[in-house]
Amino acid sequence: MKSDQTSMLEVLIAEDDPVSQRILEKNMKDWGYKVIIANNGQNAWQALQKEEIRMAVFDWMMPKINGVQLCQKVRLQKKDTYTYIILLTSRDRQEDIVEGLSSGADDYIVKPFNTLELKARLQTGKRIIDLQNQLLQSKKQLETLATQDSLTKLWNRATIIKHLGEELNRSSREKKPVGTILVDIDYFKNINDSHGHHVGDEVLIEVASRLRKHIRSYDKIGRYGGDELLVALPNCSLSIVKEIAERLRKVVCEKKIKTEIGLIAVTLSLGGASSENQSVISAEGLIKASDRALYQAKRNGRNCMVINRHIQTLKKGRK
Amino acid sequence: MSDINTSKTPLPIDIPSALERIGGDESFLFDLINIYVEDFTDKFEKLKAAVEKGNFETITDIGHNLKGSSANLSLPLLQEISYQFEIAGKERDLEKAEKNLNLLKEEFHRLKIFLQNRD
Repeated sequence: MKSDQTSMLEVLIAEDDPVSQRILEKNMKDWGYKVIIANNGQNAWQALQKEEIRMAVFDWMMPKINGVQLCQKVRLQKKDTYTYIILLTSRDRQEDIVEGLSSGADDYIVKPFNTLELKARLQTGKRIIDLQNQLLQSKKQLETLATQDSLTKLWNRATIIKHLGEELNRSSREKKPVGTILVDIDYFKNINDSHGHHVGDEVLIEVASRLRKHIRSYDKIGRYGGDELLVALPNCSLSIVKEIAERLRKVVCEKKIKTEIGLIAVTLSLGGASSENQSVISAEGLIKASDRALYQAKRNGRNCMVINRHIQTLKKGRK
Repeated sequence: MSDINTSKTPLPIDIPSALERIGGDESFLFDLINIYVEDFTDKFEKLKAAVEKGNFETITDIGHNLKGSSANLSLPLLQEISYQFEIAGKERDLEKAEKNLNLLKEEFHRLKIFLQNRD
């Protein structure tokens, strides 16, 4: 009797009558559901805090919190995933059914229930849950498309700038500095011109991957432009920006990059800045400061990093 | 099982109907009956105490609960008597509750005898 369709959907049974509880439990397990049991409304409410529970069968009459109150509580709760609720009741008067459904139940079964009917009603619930899962998945895909750079899988330009802005807001409240590093692959145009864009892409992907692995877990990195990457560093003074920038420079130049035409030696130029000791600074201002330092790094002969220590005074950059 | 049975009194349990409801598994039905018997014993004591104390809310709740599990197992008289407790509790009718206490005990006894004879 096992159904492969249910793929262990977690169902909560909130029922204080042991006979009914056992009938529900046995059958649902036979049909391939993962069953969680609660003997009263309060335990059910605690169990429902688990995101994985997508379907619930509530007995109407229960001690502490009854099934109808439980429905109301679930519906008031803000949760990304929908909980499909079947109310189990020996009340079959029309006004009871209306009250049950109005409280937020999706369906109801009148006791004593027939197991085949229960099975069919659970399947209805599963259809709704499957539909919502598809919807959530599409939403997630769209979010990824809208925020991620498809080539490097880093944040895209708009998103990394947004993250930086959010970080600056948070940090100004907490009075902590935010750092930025703008990274540019040296002679990237030459790689593209001599070996083709495909190889250029391979290099970019590998550089992105190495940098991502060598920033701190709470730092964020995105593709700022063609071969320019931007790192946002929360709680980061100039000296730490410098440390991280140097680390990033090394992880790329120390090991050649494997491409379809063989190993290529790649180096980076990096420009760092920090909001440390700045009274007010925007994301744009911080990026500009990093950009000026990057420009300086290139003038210094590339494969190096420069830290912009005096945001106001280092003005002879590009643009 | 003929000692209590009269032509008018239904059997304490309608086995075919209970089996149909739970999907036809006889050994599962007897598991359920065991759960019921154990639960009943506990609830009956609580019900008796509630009647003695005149605790109508508990009388209603236990009556409702027993009505449900009796219905699940197709125990027609146990279901009906339990329902009478639910009503007695709601109507705050202690006399009715007291009267039904004996009926409930007798019907439960009848069920047990029926099951023993069946073995």
